[in-house]
Amino acid sequence: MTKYLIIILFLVLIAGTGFWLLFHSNTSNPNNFNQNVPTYHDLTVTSTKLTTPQASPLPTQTSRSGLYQAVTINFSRDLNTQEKAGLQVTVLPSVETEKKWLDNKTLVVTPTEPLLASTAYKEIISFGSQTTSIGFTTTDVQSVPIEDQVKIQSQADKNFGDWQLQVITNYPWYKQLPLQTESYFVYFDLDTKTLFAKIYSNPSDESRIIIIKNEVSSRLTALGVDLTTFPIEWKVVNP
Amino acid sequence: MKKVLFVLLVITLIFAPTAMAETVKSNPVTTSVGNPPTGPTGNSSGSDSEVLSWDQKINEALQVGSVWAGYYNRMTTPISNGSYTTPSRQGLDQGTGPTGLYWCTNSVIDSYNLSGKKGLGLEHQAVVSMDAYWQTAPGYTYVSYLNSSDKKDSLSRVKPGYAIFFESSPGVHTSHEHVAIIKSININSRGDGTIETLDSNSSTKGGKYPVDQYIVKGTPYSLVGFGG
Repeated sequence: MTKYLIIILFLVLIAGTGFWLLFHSNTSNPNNFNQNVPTYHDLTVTSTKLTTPQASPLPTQTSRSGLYQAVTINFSRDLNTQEKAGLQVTVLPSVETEKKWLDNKTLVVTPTEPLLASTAYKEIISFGSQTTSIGFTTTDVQSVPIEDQVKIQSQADKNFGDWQLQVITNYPWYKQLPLQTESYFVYFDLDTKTLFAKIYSNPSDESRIIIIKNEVSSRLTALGVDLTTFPIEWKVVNP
Repeated sequence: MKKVLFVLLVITLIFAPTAMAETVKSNPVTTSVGNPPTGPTGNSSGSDSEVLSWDQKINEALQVGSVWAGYYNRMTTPISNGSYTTPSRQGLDQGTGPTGLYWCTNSVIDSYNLSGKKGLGLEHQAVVSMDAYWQTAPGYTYVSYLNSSDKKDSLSRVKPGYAIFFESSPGVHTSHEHVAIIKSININSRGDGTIETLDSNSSTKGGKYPVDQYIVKGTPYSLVGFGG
């Protein structure tokens, strides 16, 4: 009986070891997508390099980086989905970036907003307990490659045009203002959403002030300004 | 009891080798890798009024492109002073080639070159780069506004034909910048008035900014300065 018990215990021990090893080895399997925390086993960064910007050289251009400097990171093996997701890329000073995998072991990190000119940047790649970094310094403000300028201005013009469109849409009468005569000046302040009217008059000349106020109100109403939504803030300025 | 032993043995034989095999797979391997129409007056003096005249001509020729609905960024009418001609931009894509957009900076570059004032080029197509150039370029006048302690003095030096620079973060490219040419500036003795601009690649061909006691209002970003 004792002999059987010893054999049973021995077999249970072996089975238990087998189960433990099976579970343990699964967490280090790069092809296992069901794991929660990737361990990045066997993974190293084999190279980091500044992706050469396709920029037209300017007379003043130095070897410094453009304002959309991309960095290519090569890894020693393919990364699975979770490993890719867990990988951290930090750019200092902070900037929004886009990460694009050329294949399962090559990552390209590109800023989605312009970097600061004449600034030293550091890009830090972290995964598991490993950290790799690459540094570069951006060009001065007068030597920004034309392609970068195009990217910047493309967005800038769109932003400005959108703003103008928004103003015209929200306040169709805005471009009819200011109203300006020898007696008054009226404008709409976009920041405070307030109509300001200055009356150039002696404050004691009340009858004149009333006439001017009526004229301003009637002109604004004729332009389509809803004076209940945008009441006028009056100010009498002594000439 | 024998049946129990048999089941345990089968389980052991199935799982133990599988686990061993997975462990073997994780051995580390590291790899090493190493002639067109002439100008408004035919004069190329580079004066502010000449700049404005040329820019008005450009502004009139601007059309709506197809990249962004309603934006005046198509410029296919060649305007020339005989030695300088505006580039053609069809407004079909966001590039700066013939099919690209006519940026806000392009009307400034072109109107100044058409007026005979040289220096501005394609390398100044971003507002911050253009602004930086303007502040140091010989023959160009720069009037600081944002950092000026005397706004009245600054505005008194600005004339129609001057460029007006807006930047959300002065000197830094943020894609929140704009430049236009001043069409008119009318400010009374109390410091109240209006600045009107001619704009390209925007949803309208012009802007209007009220001035309240020498403070320019209604700007989307900080008004950093003017260039003539």
